[in-house]
Amino acid sequence: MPREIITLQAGQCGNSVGSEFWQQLCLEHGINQDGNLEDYATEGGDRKDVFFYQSDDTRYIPRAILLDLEPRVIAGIQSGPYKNIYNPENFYVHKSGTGAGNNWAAGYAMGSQVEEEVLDMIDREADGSDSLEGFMLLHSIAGGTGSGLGSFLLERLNDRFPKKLIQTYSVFPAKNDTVVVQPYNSLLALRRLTQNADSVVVLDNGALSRIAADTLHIQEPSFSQTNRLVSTVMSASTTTLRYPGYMHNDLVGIVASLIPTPRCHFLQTSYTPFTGDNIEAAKTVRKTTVLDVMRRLLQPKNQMVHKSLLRIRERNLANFIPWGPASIQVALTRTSPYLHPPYTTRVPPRVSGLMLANHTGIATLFKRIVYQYNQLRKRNAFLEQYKREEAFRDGLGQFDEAKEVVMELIKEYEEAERSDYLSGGKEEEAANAGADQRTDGVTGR
Amino acid sequence: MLHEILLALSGHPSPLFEDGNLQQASKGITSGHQFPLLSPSERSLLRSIGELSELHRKLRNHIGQIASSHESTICRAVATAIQQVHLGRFQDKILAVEGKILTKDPSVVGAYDIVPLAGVVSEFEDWHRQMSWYWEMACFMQPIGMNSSNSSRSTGAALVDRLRSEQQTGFPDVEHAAIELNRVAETAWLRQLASWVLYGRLPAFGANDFCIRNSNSEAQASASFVKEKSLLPKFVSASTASSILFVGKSLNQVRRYGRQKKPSGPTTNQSISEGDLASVHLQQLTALSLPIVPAQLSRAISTIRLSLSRNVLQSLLPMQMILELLSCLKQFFLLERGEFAVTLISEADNRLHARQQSLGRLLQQDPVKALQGLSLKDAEFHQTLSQTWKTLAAQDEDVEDDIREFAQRHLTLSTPVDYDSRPSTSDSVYGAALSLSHIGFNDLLFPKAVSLGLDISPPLDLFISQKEIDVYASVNAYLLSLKRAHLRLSDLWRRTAARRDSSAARNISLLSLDARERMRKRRVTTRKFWATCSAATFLLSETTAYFEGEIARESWSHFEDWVKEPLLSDEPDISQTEASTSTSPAPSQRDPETLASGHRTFLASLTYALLLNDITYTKELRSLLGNVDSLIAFFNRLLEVQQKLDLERDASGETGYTLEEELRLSLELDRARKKVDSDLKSVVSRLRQLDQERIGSGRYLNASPGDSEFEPWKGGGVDRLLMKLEFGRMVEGGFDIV
Repeated sequence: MPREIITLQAGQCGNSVGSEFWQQLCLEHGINQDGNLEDYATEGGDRKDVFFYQSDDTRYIPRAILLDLEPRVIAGIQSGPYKNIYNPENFYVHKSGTGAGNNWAAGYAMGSQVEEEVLDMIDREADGSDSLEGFMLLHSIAGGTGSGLGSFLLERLNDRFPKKLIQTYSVFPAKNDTVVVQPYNSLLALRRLTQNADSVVVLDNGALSRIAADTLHIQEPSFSQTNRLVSTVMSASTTTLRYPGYMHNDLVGIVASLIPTPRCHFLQTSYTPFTGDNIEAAKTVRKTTVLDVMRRLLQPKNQMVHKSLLRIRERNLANFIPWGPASIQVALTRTSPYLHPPYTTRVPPRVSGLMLANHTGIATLFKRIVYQYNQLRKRNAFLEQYKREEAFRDGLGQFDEAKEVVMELIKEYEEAERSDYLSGGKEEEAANAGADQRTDGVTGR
Repeated sequence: MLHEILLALSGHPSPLFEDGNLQQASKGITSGHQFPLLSPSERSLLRSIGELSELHRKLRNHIGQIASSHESTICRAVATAIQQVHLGRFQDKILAVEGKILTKDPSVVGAYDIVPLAGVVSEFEDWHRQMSWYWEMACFMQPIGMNSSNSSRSTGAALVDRLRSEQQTGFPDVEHAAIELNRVAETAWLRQLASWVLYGRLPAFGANDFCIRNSNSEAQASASFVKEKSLLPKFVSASTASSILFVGKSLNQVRRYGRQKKPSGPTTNQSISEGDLASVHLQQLTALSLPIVPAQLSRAISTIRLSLSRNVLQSLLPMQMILELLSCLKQFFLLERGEFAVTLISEADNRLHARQQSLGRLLQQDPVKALQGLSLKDAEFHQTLSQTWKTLAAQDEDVEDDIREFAQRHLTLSTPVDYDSRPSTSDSVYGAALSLSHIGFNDLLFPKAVSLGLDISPPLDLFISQKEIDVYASVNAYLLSLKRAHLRLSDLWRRTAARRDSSAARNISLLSLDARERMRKRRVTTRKFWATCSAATFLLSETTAYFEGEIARESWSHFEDWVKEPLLSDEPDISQTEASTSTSPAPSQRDPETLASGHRTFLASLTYALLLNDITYTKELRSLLGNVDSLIAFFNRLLEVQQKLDLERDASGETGYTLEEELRLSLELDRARKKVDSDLKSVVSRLRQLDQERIGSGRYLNASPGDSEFEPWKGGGVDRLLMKLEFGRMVEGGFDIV
């Protein structure tokens, strides 16, 4: 049973990351730039139909919907090398082409204007799949389109497809992001991510650049280079879906194994080894055994959240919630045969690893967003452009609500670090908690 | 007087040695009335002669009876041999003595033609021991006084064993006689064996005494043969015995197969060579020296087996067919094809769901009929399976899938049949190894025990037996139930209502403080539930990954390598003797019986590694799976009630009933959760114990050497699973995993 996943790409960042992602998938499945299978791609055994469907002339077409409010990035895709693989009906660029101007409210408001057309596209894709597993949203939460339109989509998807999973790959802004109003946008989008998504893969822009600098030895990484990192992570995290092994044949398997309580659904990633095409030094990876890869996955250097966010206790490499099973799962999976010689010139590392981890330390990231928001909000800076838009006509209640939700989320994560998390930390349950030794459910200690 | 003695010795009753007379004589009472002329010393001399003649007479009668009516041909042959040869010798002896007397041979006849009685008696001195030994043997074959239909008669095999042991008494004459008789017995046994080994026929006469018997002659059209261990002479080793069984079985198969497919070309070709083959094999058997040397016999049998599989079986049961069967077993019984498991589980769920609905409808219309249809029928299982095939076929319609079609033809889903267990025929080769835990996992898919079966069509039963299919079925049920629990648990994560905020909750400002507090509280109270579920999911997913991904896959590929490994080593010595008959330089493959025994070893080690023979572990796991089911059911029900409650609140205010129901369900849910928690703990602690127990030689199943050439895969002990379960902890807490 193919568990199809529909990918939604919103905004400049979402679309650039998405286009890298599809290139990577095409490479792994042996699909050429026209959507046809390469002559050598005869091995089979992969599940192309999770992310692709076949058109009448047997070309493979991504189940992707590309959305933007300004034409630049999408036009780039449409003239790029892989322009032919996409379904031309799945591009949506807003007619005015003005973009959202880094304004969440503008993106959100424009969402309701384009709702009908976009939802038609989604419905069409959903109808084309036998057993839709869920949606993947690629966006950044700092800008206008990705965060605003993305938020809007999350809410609508929730109503329309109540039993489908929604996973997002969300690029979080770096500390010194160029967009001044990013704390506003991030906070508003974060609320939707909290309330309306099943799992959020957090990709920290700052950490991405750092990884590029550290392991790929690129001092000033371009967007395309950081995007490549993201697409590497995305393709790796979907490998288990595309190459069905024994574990995690569907998205829910990944989600269920990583996300215990519904609110704590923000995942961190790290990937090793990162190698760039042009970097000789990166190839001199000392030795790659599974254990070695696992060890390196736990190194902050390879994690996609900024170093400062990891609260590393003494002797402890990572800090897991005390009441649950360790949220690390090692999935040894099959990989694409087309990434090996003779299909490519570059020998891939023998073992590579991706870690998706659910870590309470992520709350620090949210705290930073709230802090930055507070700084901005104190001065009532840049609020005019928000007030002009639909969502803020009646006042700035949206901000307060969003902050409340995010604060609750932070609280949830903080509670999760305590061992009385499960009993709710309430006195009514306290008596119960003593007898309830489930803190060590699986390991039985 | 002398005449009287000699006649009496040759078996005629004589007044000289009447029973009473003898007994009295033995008691030392003088009874002078019949033969007053006999002096006491003469009488005591005559007594030994009397005993001998009495014994001889009895023996003659008894032996005659055995030779004509005993069930075992071996016993008959021995009896006849005693009658004809050995007693004949006795007769000769009597004649010789008589001749000596008549010719006045000085060794017997003294001066004045006096024949001393002591001289005559001493002539027969040697025969006492032999005669009583014969008598012992005769009584062993058929105890005296038993009527012919009694079951306590000796079997041929027992006789052979007895004769073999009698050779060690230390008396040369007994040894000599025993060897001779043994030779006779073994010749008779070999004759039986020959008809089986050369032509695959059970001996027409005395089949009940043969070590192979037809297990169910009437029940099934295809006869199946089993070894009867008690009818096996001790000098035949277990592996030789199974080889014998195999050779005959395959010949039988060939004959039946040939009969079924008369017109086809290649089989006729075979039947020609079959005759030649039989004569070659016969040479092997006749070359055996008597009494049989076990090593010689097993060598001859294995030579026959090898030449048989080289010449006949390779075309009857080609490698490709075995591989097809094996991949079918792997893909569907061991769930390598994940989508089969998933589809089967979901089809089963659909069917149950549909049943529930139609049952509810029917209950209102016609309760009696509804109750009659309560139990699940085999037809429904069949439908479920065929629906599964349909779904699978729809998924990859463009791909030709031989294995799937093979499975579709052969797989069945039905209530398991209890085969009458036959403890007496416990087979040494695979009796001991496959002791599975009695805890059944086959009642989780449906609320009734259901297991996957495989029809073994004729040539395949050379390789696999129903017993092994049953083992596969329980492995399948075990893996399937784990998978099902895992799937059902992860389905909870799809319950959006439980995990995300509903659209009503999106506008926080519109909600009353009360409602917000209520939702927050619900979130907090379900934390425990989610944590338990995720712990269970974690354990189950790791366990399935370990079982399917590591154990099943690795040991399977190890086994497959062994099967495909070209046969190189044991060519030379046999192929030369077979050179005349081997029709073609056939592609080398192991002969089916080696494969079958390798397969049995593989299966035994697989079930051992899957922990399926550990009663404690399976018990805990079974209870965990059951409790997980009820946990999920309670949670779903609670969600429904909560939604209803919310609606009622919005409309008019909640009703007491719904409130009560919610309270009750939360309580039940909590109870179920605690059960799952404790089960999780016991499963893991049992795993730990197993890890402690299975060290050293206990780590893997010890296949006794010589049982098969296949060395099972050794790797991935329980510690691997435990390590994964504890990976996070290991990092956190240093090295306290042990």
